[in-house]
Amino acid sequence: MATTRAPAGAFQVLRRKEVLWGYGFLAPILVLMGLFVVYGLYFVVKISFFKWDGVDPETMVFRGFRNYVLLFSDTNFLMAVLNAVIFLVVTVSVQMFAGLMVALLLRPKLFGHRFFKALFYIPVALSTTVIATTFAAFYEPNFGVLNSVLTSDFGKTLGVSGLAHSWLGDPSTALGAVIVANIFQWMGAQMIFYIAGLTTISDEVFEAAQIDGAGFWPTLTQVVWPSLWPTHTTVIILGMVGAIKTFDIVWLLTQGGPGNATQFPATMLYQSVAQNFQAGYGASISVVMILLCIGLSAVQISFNNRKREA
Amino acid sequence: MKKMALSVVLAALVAFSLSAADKVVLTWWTWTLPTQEDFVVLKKGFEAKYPNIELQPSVNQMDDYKTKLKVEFSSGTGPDIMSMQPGSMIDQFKPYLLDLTAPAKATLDKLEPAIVAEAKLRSGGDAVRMAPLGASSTMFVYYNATYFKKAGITKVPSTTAELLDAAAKLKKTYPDKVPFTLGLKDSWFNGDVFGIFADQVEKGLLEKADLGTVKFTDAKFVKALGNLKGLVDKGLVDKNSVGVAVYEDSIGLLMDGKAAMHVNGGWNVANLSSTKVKNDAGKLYSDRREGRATVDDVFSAFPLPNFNGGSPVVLGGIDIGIAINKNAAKDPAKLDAALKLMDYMLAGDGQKFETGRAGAGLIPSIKGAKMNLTPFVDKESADGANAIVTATNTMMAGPRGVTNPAVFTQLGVAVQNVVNGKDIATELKAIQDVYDKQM
Repeated sequence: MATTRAPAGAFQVLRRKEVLWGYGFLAPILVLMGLFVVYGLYFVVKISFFKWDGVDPETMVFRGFRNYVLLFSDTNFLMAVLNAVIFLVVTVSVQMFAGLMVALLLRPKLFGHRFFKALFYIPVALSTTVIATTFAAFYEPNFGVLNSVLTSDFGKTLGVSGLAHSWLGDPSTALGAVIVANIFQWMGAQMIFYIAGLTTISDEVFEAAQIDGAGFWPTLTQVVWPSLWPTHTTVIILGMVGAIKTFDIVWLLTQGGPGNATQFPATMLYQSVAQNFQAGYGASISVVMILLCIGLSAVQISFNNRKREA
Repeated sequence: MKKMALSVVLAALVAFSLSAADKVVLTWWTWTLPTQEDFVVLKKGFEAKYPNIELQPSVNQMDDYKTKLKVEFSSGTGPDIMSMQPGSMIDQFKPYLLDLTAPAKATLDKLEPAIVAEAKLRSGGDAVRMAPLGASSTMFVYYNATYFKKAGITKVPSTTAELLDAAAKLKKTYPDKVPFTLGLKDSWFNGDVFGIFADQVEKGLLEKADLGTVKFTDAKFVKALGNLKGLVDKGLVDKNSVGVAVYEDSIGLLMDGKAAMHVNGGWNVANLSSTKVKNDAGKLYSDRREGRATVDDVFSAFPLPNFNGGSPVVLGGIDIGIAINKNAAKDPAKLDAALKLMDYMLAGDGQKFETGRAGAGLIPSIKGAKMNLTPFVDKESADGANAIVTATNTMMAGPRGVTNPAVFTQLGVAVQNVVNGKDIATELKAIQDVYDKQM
C-alpha cells in the first residue's frame, strides 16, 4: 500500500516550531520567576553578606560571613530553630494521626459524613487572624474560657483549678499553646489529604483484610499506613516547610514572647528586618531557612523513594 | 457636524487635562494619627482652603508603614509628606527628609520654642526634619473613679504604699475584678516600661545608656528592674500580665468594668470623657466609652507612682511630627503646597481639629494653646486630664525609646523575663550585648 510521506526535514521544521511555541508560552512565567524568584533569591543571598539597614543602598557595607557568625552564636536563633523542630515534630505527628483517624472514620460515608468533613475543614478556610483572636480569648489569663473552666466549680471538683495561669505569658506553656492553635487550624487539611489517599486503596483490600480476621489496628498499621506513603510524604514535607516558615499564628498570639520563648526563624527574620532595621542579618536568617527547607525536603523525598523501592 | 462634535470633545479633554494639571497632588502617609476619620475632615477643610491642591492621605499599621517607607526611599521615591516619630524612626529616615528650618520658618515660629528645639535635637541636632504636631507622655494609671469611691479610696495614690493599699481595698470590695492591670505582651509597650522604671531611679538614665555614657549593666538598671520585680513579688503586677496585650486586653478589662486600674500612655485621655457629652458629629469623644458595662462610670488618671521613691516622672515629648520628602523641594509648586499643608496642620484649622479632638490625646505644640478639656465634665475626669497635661509639661524625665530599635526590642524582652522570674543581671547583660553587637 502506498503511503504519503512528508518531505524530508518537514518533521524537524514542525518540531522546531512547536518548541518555539512552547518557549513562547513559557516566556511570561519564566520572566516573572526570573524577576521575583531568581533575582529575589540572588538579592537575599547577596545582602546576607552586608551590614545594611534596608533603606539606603548606598549605606551597604560588605562584612563577609560576619552575619552568619553572629547568627550561629545567637542563642535566640538556636532557640528559634529548636522551637521550629519541636513545633514540626509535634504538629506533624498529631496532625497526621488525627487527620488519618478522622479520614478513616469518614471513609464508610455514614449519615452526616459530609457535614463532619465540612466541619473539620472550616478552620483551614478561616483566616489565621480569626483563629489567633479566638485562641487569644480562649487563653486570656483573667477571664478567658480555659481558665474560667479550670477555676469553675466543675474544675475544682476535678482538682484542676491549680492549672489556671497565663498560658501565653508563661514560657513553659506558651509554645504548647501556640502548637495547639496551629493543630486546630490545619488538622482539616491533613484530613483531606488522607481522604484523597484512602481512595487509592480499593475496597477489596479492606475486605480481604477483614476476611483474614484483621481488626482495626492491624488493618491500620499493616494495610493502610504502608499504602499511604505518598500521602505521608506530602503531609510531612508540607508540615516541615510550614514549621520552618511559621510566622502568622506565632506573631499574632505571642510575638515570639514571652521573652524569646516562642521565637521562630521567621519571627526573628521579621523582627530583624521590619522592626530592628537589620536587613543584612535578616537576610542571613532567610538563607538558612531556605537551606533548611531544601535539606529537610531532600531527606524526606529520598526516604520516601527508598520506602517505595523496598 | 462630526467635526464640530469632535472639536467639543477635544476642547473638553483639553480643559479637563489643564484643570487636572493645575492641581498639585500631595501624598501624606501616616500611622495611627491622623485617623481615616480625621482625614475626611482634614482633607475637606484643606482642599476648601487651597482648591488647587489635592491631598491623598494613607493611614497604615506601624510595621507596614516603616516597611513601605523603606521600600519607597530605597527606590528614590516616597510620599511627599509623612508622619514621623522621634527615636529610631526619624533616625533611620532623616537622610530623606527636608530641613524645615528655612522653608518652614514662618510656621515653626508659631510653635513653642522648646518643642521646636526638641524636634531639632531628635532630628540629629543639625536640622529640623520634623515639625511637631503635638506632645504626649507615658505612663499613667487610668482608673475607674466610681469603683474607687465605692472601695473608700479618697486620695489618688502617689506612692507605692498608697497604690498597694488602693489595690487591696479594691480587691476587698470587688473580689471578682482585677485591681491593677499592666499589659506586658507587646514589645512596643515593654520598652517604655523599662524606660519608666529606669528613669524613676534617675532622670534621663535610659537616654544616657542610649548615648553610651552608662552601661545597661549599671547598678542603677539593676535597681530599676529590681523595683519591677518587687511589684511582682508584692502581687501588684501579676505574672499573668505577660500574656495580656495593652490593646485590647488590658484596656478592655478597664473599660468593660473587669478591672479597676490600667496603665497606659497619656494619649488615651479621651477614655476619661463623659458619656453625657458628644462632639460636633454627635458622637462620644471615645469609642471605648460606647456601649460598655461602664457607660455610667466616671474615669480618671494619675501619673504612675515612682516605685523608687520620690516624685513621679513621665517619658515622652513630641508624639508625632510632620516631615517633608527631600524630593518635594525639587518641584517649587509641590514644596509650596507641602508647606501650606504643614502650616494648616501645625498652626491652622487642621491643628485646631486634630489637637482639639480629645481622642487624639495630643497636647498642641502651638504657642499658648491648651488641650480641649470640654469632654471631661466630671470633676475626677477633669482632674485626670489636667494631671496628664501637667505631667507632660513638668515631669518629663526623658524621651520614649532608644535610637537602636534592636536594643528597644531587647528592653521589652528583659521586662517580660524579669516578670517571669529570670535573673536581672543576665537580662541586662543581654541588652548590653545587643547594644554592643551593632547587627
